Amino acid sequence: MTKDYNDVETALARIQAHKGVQGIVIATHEGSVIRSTLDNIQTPQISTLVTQLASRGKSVVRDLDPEDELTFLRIRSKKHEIMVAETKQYLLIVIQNPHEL
Amino acid sequence: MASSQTRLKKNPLLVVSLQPCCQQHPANNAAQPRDAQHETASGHSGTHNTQSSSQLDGSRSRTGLNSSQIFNMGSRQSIRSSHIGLDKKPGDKREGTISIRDDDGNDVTPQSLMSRRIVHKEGGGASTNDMSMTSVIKETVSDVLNHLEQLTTSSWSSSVMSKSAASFANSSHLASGSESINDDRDDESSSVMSSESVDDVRGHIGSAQGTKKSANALPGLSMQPRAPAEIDPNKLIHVTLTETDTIVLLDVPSVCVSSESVEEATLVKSANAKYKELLASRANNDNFVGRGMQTFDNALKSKDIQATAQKQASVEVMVNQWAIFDAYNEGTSRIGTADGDGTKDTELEGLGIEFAVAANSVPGPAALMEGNGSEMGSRSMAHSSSVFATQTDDTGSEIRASSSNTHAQLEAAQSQSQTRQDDKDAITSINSERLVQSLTLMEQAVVGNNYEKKLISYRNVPDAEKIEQKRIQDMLRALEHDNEDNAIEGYDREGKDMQNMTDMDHLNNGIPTLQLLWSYRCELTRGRSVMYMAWNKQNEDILAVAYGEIKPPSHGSAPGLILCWSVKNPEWPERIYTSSSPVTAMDFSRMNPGLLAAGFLDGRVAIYDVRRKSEKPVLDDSDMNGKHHDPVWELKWIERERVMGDEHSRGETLVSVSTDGRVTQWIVRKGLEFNDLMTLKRLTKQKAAPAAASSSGSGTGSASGSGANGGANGKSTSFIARQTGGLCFDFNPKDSNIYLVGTEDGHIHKCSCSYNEQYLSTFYAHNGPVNKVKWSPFLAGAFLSCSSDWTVRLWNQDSEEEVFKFQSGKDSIADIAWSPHSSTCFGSVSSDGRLEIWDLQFSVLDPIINHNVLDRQLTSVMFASQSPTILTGDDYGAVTVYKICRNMISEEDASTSGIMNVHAGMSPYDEAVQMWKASEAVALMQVITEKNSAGATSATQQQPQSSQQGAAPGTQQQGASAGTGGSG
Repeated sequence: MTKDYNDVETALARIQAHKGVQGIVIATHEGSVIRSTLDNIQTPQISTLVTQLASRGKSVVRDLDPEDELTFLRIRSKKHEIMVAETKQYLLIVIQNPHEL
Repeated sequence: MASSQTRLKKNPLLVVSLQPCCQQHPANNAAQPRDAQHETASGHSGTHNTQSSSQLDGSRSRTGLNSSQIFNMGSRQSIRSSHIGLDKKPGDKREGTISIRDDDGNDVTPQSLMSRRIVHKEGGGASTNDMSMTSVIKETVSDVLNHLEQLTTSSWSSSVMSKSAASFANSSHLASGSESINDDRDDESSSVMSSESVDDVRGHIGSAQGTKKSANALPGLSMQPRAPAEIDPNKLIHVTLTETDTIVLLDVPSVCVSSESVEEATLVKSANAKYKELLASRANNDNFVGRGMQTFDNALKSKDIQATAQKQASVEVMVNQWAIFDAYNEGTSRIGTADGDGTKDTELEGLGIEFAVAANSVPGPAALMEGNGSEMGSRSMAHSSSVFATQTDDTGSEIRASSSNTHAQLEAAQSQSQTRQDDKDAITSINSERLVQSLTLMEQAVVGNNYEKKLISYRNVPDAEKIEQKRIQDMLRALEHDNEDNAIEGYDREGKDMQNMTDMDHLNNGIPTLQLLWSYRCELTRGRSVMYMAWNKQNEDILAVAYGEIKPPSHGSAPGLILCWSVKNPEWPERIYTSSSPVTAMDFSRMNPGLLAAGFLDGRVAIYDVRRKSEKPVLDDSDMNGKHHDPVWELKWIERERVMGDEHSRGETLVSVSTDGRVTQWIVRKGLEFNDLMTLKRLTKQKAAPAAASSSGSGTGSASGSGANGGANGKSTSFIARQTGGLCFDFNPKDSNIYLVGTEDGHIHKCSCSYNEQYLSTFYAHNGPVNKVKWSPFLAGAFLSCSSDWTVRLWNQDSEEEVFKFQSGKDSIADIAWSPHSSTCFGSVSSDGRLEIWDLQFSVLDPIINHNVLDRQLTSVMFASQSPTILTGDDYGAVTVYKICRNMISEEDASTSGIMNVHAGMSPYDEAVQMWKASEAVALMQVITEKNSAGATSATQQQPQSSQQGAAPGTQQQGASAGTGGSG
């Protein structure tokens, strides 16, 4: 458990250290935040909005094929790329600016 | 009824006392109606009665009616009228005018019968004759009384009988006269007549004092005849006996009708039917009387009750296709495991996990929660419970109570989980395996964003911008083409010119260049040197890199490390395996792409399964006899027959070579099984060299002979160790029985798996340890070797002498690799940080690319088969990926990339690939034969030169220059 936990922590730290990564949010499907590296203003915004989008996306994928499952969602915007890795329990949201040097 | 019963109980005691009472009582009863109605007739004799009855002969029936009325009255008024008799009669007697009324208001005032008295008196004479009658009647009365006494058991019958008794008594009184009765009442009433008779009686029965009243009464009765006898004994009395009508006291006609009399029976039956009908229609009313009734209005009452307000909740659920799908699946699975669930429930109850039980009690949606474990997201829980609550709200308060219980429990559990989630270490509560997985995915995505351009380049996907640039260049070139007619003819000239040009000039003239893409490195690899690299045979995006610590370990970490990198994330490995000793060799299996064999510095061979995350190897030979005693320097999976000559046993075996002088084959069955393919015996160069010289032209057969000779002549020189250390080996790609072994002595032995004693041939190649031997993937007989003597040599297996000797630097060559794309291309890395790529077609003297890495020792090199890249490993733990940019001529670029795509897309046995390979082999062959023919004259001079001058760097340079001359 502790080893897994350490793995998780180091992985989080690595992702945060990658170029252009602005923040990581781990949230449940309801939008409650488990872990966030963003500030208190952005975190709830992202957790609520992105979870809604992710659930919609999940619904779309499942409607097309009920046996399918949404695993990853990317939104490329002018400024950011929002990436969402989805599991049954929670969402892992990472905001990255790929143009940042 | 009750009273009669009590009387019945008391009966045994009261027999004595009751008897007179009973005797009197009917008398009273009889007297009272008589008192009430015919009081004045009390003194009358029965004659009068008979007379009157005879008088009333015509209306007999009426009298019967009257008497029956009297009986009825009597039974009703018996007690009441006794009071009347007791209380009012005295007053009645005295005043005579008082009217007496009973409860119903009927006038029961005694009427004067004075006139009849006369008659009575007239008929007084007849009373003597009455004697017999009285006696008879007395008997009957007494009989009746006796009967009555017996019949008190039944109140009804008693009352009836009392009535009848009364009637009897009445009639007897009527017949016998009222004196006897009056005697009974003498104490109370004081009628004149009575008093007289009483006086008489007293006179008569003075002696009988103290006897019972009944006893009194009877003598009284018996005395009665005396009184009439006094009236007029002499008077002639005519007694007329007439037969009276039969008096029916009780007639209960039979209701049974003989069915033989058809008429009556039908009548009765119809009547019965009617009656039944009536009963049926008016079941509850026996009287069948229609009567209007006025009833009270029901009192209205208004009552207020305070109740708890009903809770209402509205729930909206959006259902879409997949939700239905899930629910359906769940339902079917639940049906399947219904039994299991039941037992599970009881188990949970047994364990006292209230929450789980509560969850189970919630129907339907809660099953989802069961499936996903108690830690599942709380939303669906809340959802299901709220739905449940509303449902039960509608159904009833009782169920609601229970539901609110479960609701509360759910909420409690929810809040528990909520608080847990709020905890700072909430991350541990979620499934960390899945989290690690998604983090890996996310990291790949993030890194992929950063490496996007480079990855595209790595995949050799044509860049649209570059294509556009190229098109413009082509157009420009086409314009220039008119001026340069002899572009191809000028190629050789250009090539010669290029030798004199600097690297920058090469670049400008379209010579292939290296472009740094990225380095596989992370903090784990810092301070370690790359020992070996291996592609996964199935998915070349995966690269296994073995690390060792050649420098003394700086910290206490495990010295050995294997990392499996994915091209998707060059900044963090996918798999990390640590070991106690440095890893020196490695190979992925081709048949089971998940198996990774690793050889260690301590001689161990282990097999890892990269599909599993566990750090432990699946197989290990550390406790086996056949374990190498010295470092394993090369390890390969070889696809060949396990047993000689048996094609069916063809499979993959693991072959390793170690400095302990053994080439060992490992067969993976239940464990690892080993057998030695070859024990490397040491050969002396002095003996071998003449042999090589003598048999230089003759080939393999004599070479093996020379090996044998060398072994035989080895007695003259003694060795410290009889065996030489093997550093590398390579199996012939065409014939998997033939392999080459490079040794520390600088020899290369060609061996066959069939003979584990002798070498097929030996190449006395290098002056230093042979670091790597590599067969050409295209031309069957050609192979390359590199050594610490600073040289790389190209060999033809038929020749004892090398075809080419390549040297451009002054440090040992650590590794070589053939290019999988071009038969004439190979790469080499040296310990002073040089990466050289040679193209024999282009030049055999200088590498076409010479890339210097400062401050690094390069330890290994490898081409990627599916992208135009070359990888180098250095002693600082970085594996650097370079792209070979072939900008030389656009046509060539297109052709090579096309070939590469063909090569990547098709199986190696495909026809097009075969043809391509053949053409490539021809190209290499041409290079070799060209050299042989061109340098035939100089070869004899060159070869002694190189062999004699040995490993001296200066002379090597000379040799290189000689080679240049040869090629020129």
